[in-house]
Amino acid sequence: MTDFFGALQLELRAAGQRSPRRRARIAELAGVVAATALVAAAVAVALVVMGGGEESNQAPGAARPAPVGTVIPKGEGKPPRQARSVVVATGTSPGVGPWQMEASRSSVLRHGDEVLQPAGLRCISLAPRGPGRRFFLLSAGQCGEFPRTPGFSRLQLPGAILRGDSERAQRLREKPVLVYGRVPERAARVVVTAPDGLRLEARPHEGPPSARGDFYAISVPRGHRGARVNWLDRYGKPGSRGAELLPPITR
Amino acid sequence: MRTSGQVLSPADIEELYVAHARRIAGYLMRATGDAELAADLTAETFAAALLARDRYRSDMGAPATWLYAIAANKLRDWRRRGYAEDRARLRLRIERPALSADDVAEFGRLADEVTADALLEELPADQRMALRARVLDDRAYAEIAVAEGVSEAAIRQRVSRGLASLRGRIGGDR
Repeated sequence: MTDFFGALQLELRAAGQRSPRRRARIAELAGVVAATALVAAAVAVALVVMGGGEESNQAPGAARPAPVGTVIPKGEGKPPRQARSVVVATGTSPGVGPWQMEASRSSVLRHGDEVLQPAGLRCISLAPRGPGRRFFLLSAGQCGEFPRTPGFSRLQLPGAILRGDSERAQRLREKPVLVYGRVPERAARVVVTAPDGLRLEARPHEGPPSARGDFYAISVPRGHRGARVNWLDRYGKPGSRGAELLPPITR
Repeated sequence: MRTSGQVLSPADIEELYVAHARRIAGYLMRATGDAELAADLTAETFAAALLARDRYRSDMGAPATWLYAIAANKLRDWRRRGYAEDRARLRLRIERPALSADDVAEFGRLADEVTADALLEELPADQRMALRARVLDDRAYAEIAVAEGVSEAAIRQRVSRGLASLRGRIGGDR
């Protein structure tokens, strides 16, 4: 047997020897999952690390993006990965520079007896990989599904991470925001539209064979109220109801 | 394995797992074309079987048939909802093991491992008999109906349902 079948057999054997959780508990858990997914739509569970430094600072772990398919074991990398991660896409975008997108599974997060995040949710994160900036971001991501757009998620790298009125801060705040996420494999394009006529398109990145779906990243300029992102199939038909973009894009 | 008049024990479920997990994984891989998803659904299928083992009755068909019915339900839920359910796994606190590159390749191989005989064995006995008689032995509906002591319409229905089941297991839409 390969690892998967052997490991699952052990999990089943162990589960057969203990009592299942009560249904009420599951209902609570389902609520947490739903809440996680909904909150995730608005607020990415982000590992944002900001710090000062010299202009010439390298972000810790700054390097070129790893090839698609690279596996980063749990506990390795900078920041140390909380679970085994796989690089699913790489690219370079304005305002962010080189980046790599990673997929993984969530570990359980608890606060006392309360389960904040169950184990096993699909996670996606994006890490800028270029030379460091004065303020840097190691990685940002989110776990869980977007229930209303199956297979399609929308995340945004936190924008305007440099506060203040300095010329540099103002310049950074004018940079486009990177919108990224997972997209079904039958998607031919990802499109961003806004009532003011904005229309941007990007082709999805094909992930490694082990990854579910494809992935996208698209730079979106700020100041487009009502902007949305959606995917189109090869006939140009919208694949879902789409997702609203968030400030600072829509501010 | 106990299959008549008694509920299945966790050990029975493990026995079923050893005998059928890879075939069910192949079925789910054929249907989804995605190893991660097939792994999710395989784990959820067996978790659900473990949870529901006291509801299994021998008149539902062989345990393997019952397992396939659970897998087919999980597949149908995935198609409807767009994501793989994990309720049974959460209830049992089963963590779905991560897939290695070898596992992904194995799922691909399993999807290609399919024989008509193996699929027929997984059908309920009445559908299996009707399909063998009609499709493999080329006997007339009326003749089969007389031999089985049921109406011709009943035999036609069994053949139709059996074929639909096989299509689903090979990876068709239904």
